Amino acid sequence: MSTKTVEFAVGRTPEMGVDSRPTYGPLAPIDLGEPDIGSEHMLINIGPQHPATHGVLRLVCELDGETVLRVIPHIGYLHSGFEKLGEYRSWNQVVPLTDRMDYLAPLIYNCAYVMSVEELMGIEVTERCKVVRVILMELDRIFGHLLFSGTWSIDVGAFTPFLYTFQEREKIYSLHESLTGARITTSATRVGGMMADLPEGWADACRKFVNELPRTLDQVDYLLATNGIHLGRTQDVGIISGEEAINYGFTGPNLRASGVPYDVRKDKPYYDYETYDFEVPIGEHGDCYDRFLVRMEEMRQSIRIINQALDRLPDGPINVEDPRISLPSKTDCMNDMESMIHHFKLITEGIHAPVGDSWFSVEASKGELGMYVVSDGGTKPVRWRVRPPSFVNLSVIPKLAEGHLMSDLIMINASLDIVLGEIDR
Amino acid sequence: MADETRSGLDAVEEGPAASEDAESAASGAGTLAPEHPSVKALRARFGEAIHSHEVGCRGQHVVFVDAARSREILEWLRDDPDHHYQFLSDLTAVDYGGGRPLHVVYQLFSMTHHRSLRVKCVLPVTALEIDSVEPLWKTADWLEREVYDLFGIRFNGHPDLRRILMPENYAEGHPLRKDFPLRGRFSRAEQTRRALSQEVADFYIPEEMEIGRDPQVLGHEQDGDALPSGENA
Amino acid sequence: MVTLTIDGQEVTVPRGTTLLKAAESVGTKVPHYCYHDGLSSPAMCRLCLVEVEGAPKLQPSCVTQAQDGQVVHTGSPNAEAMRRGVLEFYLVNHPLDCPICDQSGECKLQDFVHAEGREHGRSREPKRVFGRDDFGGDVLFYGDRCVMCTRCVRFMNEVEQDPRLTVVERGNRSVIDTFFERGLDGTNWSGNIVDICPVGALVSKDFLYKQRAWDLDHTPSICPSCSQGCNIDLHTRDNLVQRLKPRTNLEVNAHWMCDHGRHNYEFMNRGDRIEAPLVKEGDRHTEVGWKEALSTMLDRAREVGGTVRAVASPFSCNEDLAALKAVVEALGGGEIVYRLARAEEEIPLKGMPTLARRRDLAPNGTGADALGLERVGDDDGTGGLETVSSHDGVVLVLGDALQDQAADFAGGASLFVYLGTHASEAVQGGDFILPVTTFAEQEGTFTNRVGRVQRFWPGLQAPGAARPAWLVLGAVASELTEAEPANTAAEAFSRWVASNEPFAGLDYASLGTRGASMNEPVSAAGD
Repeated sequence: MSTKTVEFAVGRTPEMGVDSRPTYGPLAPIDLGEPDIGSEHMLINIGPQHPATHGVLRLVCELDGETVLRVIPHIGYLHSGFEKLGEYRSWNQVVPLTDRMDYLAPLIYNCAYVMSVEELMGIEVTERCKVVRVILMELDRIFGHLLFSGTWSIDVGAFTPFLYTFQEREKIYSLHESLTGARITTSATRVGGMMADLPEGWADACRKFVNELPRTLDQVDYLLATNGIHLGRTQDVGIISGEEAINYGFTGPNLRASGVPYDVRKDKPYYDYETYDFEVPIGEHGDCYDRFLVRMEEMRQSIRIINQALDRLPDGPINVEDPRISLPSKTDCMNDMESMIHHFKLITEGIHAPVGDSWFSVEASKGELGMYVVSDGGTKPVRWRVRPPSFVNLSVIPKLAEGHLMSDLIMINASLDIVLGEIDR
Repeated sequence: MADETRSGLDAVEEGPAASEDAESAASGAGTLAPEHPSVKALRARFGEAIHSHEVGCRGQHVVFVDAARSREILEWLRDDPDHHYQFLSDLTAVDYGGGRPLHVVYQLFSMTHHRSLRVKCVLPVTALEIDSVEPLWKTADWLEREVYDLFGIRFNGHPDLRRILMPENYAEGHPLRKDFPLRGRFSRAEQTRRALSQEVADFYIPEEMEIGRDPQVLGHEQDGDALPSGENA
Repeated sequence: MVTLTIDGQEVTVPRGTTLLKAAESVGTKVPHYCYHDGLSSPAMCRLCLVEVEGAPKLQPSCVTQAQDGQVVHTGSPNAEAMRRGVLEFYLVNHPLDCPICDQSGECKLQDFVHAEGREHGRSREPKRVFGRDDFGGDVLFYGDRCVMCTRCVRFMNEVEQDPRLTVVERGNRSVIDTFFERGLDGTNWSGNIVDICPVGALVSKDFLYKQRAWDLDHTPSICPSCSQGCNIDLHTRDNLVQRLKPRTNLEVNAHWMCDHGRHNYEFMNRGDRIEAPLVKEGDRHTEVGWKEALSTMLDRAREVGGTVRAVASPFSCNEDLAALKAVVEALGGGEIVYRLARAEEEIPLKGMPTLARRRDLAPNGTGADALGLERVGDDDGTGGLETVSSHDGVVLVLGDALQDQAADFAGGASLFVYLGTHASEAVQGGDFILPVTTFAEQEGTFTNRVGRVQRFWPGLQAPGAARPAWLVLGAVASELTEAEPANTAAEAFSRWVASNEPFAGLDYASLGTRGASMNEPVSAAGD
């Protein structure tokens, strides 16, 4: 039998004195008498049911001890065929499908979808609608990032920030609910406008929430940002350079953490984003820690945008006043023949779109969310394609995790901020 | 003579086929369009391989190119410093149904020049293959796998072209094709049967099966177990 | 020929063509109510007005004839403003009935207003109300919804030539009405006024509140109720025929369909079908698969031999009958007979001399004759099968349910095979009972009384294991003659039907959706 020499960093040595304070002497080789365990690589299967994968994600890892040599992600466990379903629904009926994709920031998806359809149809929404949609998208950006910071801290091992951030999220849930009636599956937008205008008091409640949020963000920062274990687990872990990130299709905070200043709100602005005063945080190292910092800072910038938007929120109609696009009010519909007919045709057939296709992207909380709609002149999409940021971000995991430890794999996975709903659709 | 592989009596059980096939129609007619610098340069450099150029809603430019030269064209678009489309926003496909050709859509964005361009290649239904652009943009790895999975378009030169959203052993076809029914081809019972099958081979791809294939070497024999191979002390 | 420009496009049309038709020929549909291809044009709805350069006022395109060099704009600002205004007038008195109106989803008023009408109504006055009126027959009249296009009045006057409807009162109070209690009773073509009414003023009682128009699938077919062969559409949902509508074919039925055929669709929805091939064992029938049933049947046929006597049905399509003929020939030849019920009288449509509900109450009597089948039995479609019943060889029955025959039909036959949709007492004696499809569940062709061969398509899914008879008999014939089986109706037509002289040279491609004449126009047997 061959023996193996094992070195311990801490061990009691014969030099320990009567004084009971242990001294850490030099490393002492200890003869264990253990057999030589072969060091072939191990196949480990993480998921799809696993608390740390942030959804139904399966990672098949090849491990050498604790070191990850290879990780092969498997997705599709949440595949619901949304893109196929979209082809069987009229333009407005697709909106509820969008809630279910990124369920952590549903309003962004709602807005992005109708924005791409409005682009296809050449519809210009009202000023009020634009500002309201900006508020809702930024609110859900905060919503998504709060979830990120909460689950991130659990992955690091700190439970408390999770409770703080989820308490804040409850307030956003209430805002969702008072606006749309639902907490997660908001379906708030329609082609040409919104399902309903902001209820009374909503703007004030939103402002109150947004102005109280920095206190929680500060608390989370205090607990995490300079914490030794947190830094040790996330700094220099999962580094990707800017060039490579672009080639891999990284977008959103992941890309910006690698130093690439690409934000759809600044580079391809929509809804007057160029008139809002906000900054886009850019990281330096492209590691997990930078991704965390970028998201924390983005929340603060979103607060700025929301305050500015609430300040400039104009009065006026929320929906385009064209009964061939937006439903007439029920009062009109029941009293007025033309409105009855328009209402009827819109519900039974839907809006007729011109022939053509349209690609539109917004800055979602996870990255660049692209929507590609193709129309053949009918009331249903011929093709509705969602380019989900998480799908592309996740594909980089094999490259990022190679050579890191198992625990680093978990942190890398968390730092990408993925949501399986949009990956699998 | 009667068909040897299948007699006419078998055909009765299956039922008749429809008399008509769907007609195929050409697609993507070009129209006169405002200028896009990349399209102009493409036309100058690749000539015939650039079929047409359209401008759609709110000034979105679409250029139809020859599928056989797509790799070359996209590589030039990525590398030429005046165009420099270093970012592949999206790669997808569209099936128009009725036997019509499929479109493969590449959405490109140049961060340097701040320009978008949509490049489309038309593939006939009977010849659904095109060169992979994975060597150009690593994003295309999973994006092409998804197009293969959902449409059945093969990407030549892709390092690992296999299904990504549907299970590995999915046998009902390619779901986003227009001739694929919404609820799939198999009955619910058959789908459930297949989903519940617990074959190990269905859960691991060949690459993963190779991991840890050599058994661990133990220093001594276990009770009664014969060691398959490896060193023995 | 004259050449004019419509919406920037040059078009050449025969002299006398109206602007409406000329616009249609370049793909522009000008909205209209009172004009109809099969009726006169009174130019009273004022919706089809178009701008003609040089004319001071807008011209009604349904009556204005095209002139050389005219420049016409159907969508100019003037024309659009005119349509907006006219539609507004129509809506002033129109009830908000869309949610309860049958015409929703196929309503011209809805379509035009949504496309080109005002966004909101301006009228605040109370609307004039007429209520619901039962016109008799299958027709209900909702006077509130009427737009006074008078298509119904003109149809009854000009086409059916039995003037039962008229406009009574005047001005705001004008309404369509019938003459006292007589109503539409006794008319035979009044179902067509439901088709041509552009709004939901005239609705069918049979279809009232039955289905929503957009839920229905449309399948082109041929009416099976007589030998005229009117082109129809089957409107189906949930695998049931919900209604029949005529399909335009100027050479057969123009735009019309008789009430007798229109309401005769329930038989396509019957549920008591034979669903699986049945083989007689002892005095019971066992369900088996097709392959087993047919191979057993073939073995038995080869074993027993004997002459063949067959009964066919004039409700079977040409392909089915020709395949039956092929089987009979392969088994050594024999007689094939069919029975056909006949009405006492035709029901003509006075305004269209070539169209009538014919006396032969089945769609393919002529096809059967052309294939050499013999007609037997009386005008009720009963009797005539004595020789078949007492035959001691092979008896094949296709389609004819033998409702009038006794339980011992073909009791002495060496082999009795029945292919059909329903069983009767007489059928129970069959050694092989094989389920086949109705015409609504398969592709095929019917030959009408003047020899026009017309295709139809499947609108329903056959129940259980039912298969088209041409597929079943074709497979049997192929096995017996060692020929290639036909897998599509087109192949079946080419293989077995077109090999008969009257059908030579025809194929599905040439038949298309309009049909084509067979080679010798057969004078209708027993018109």
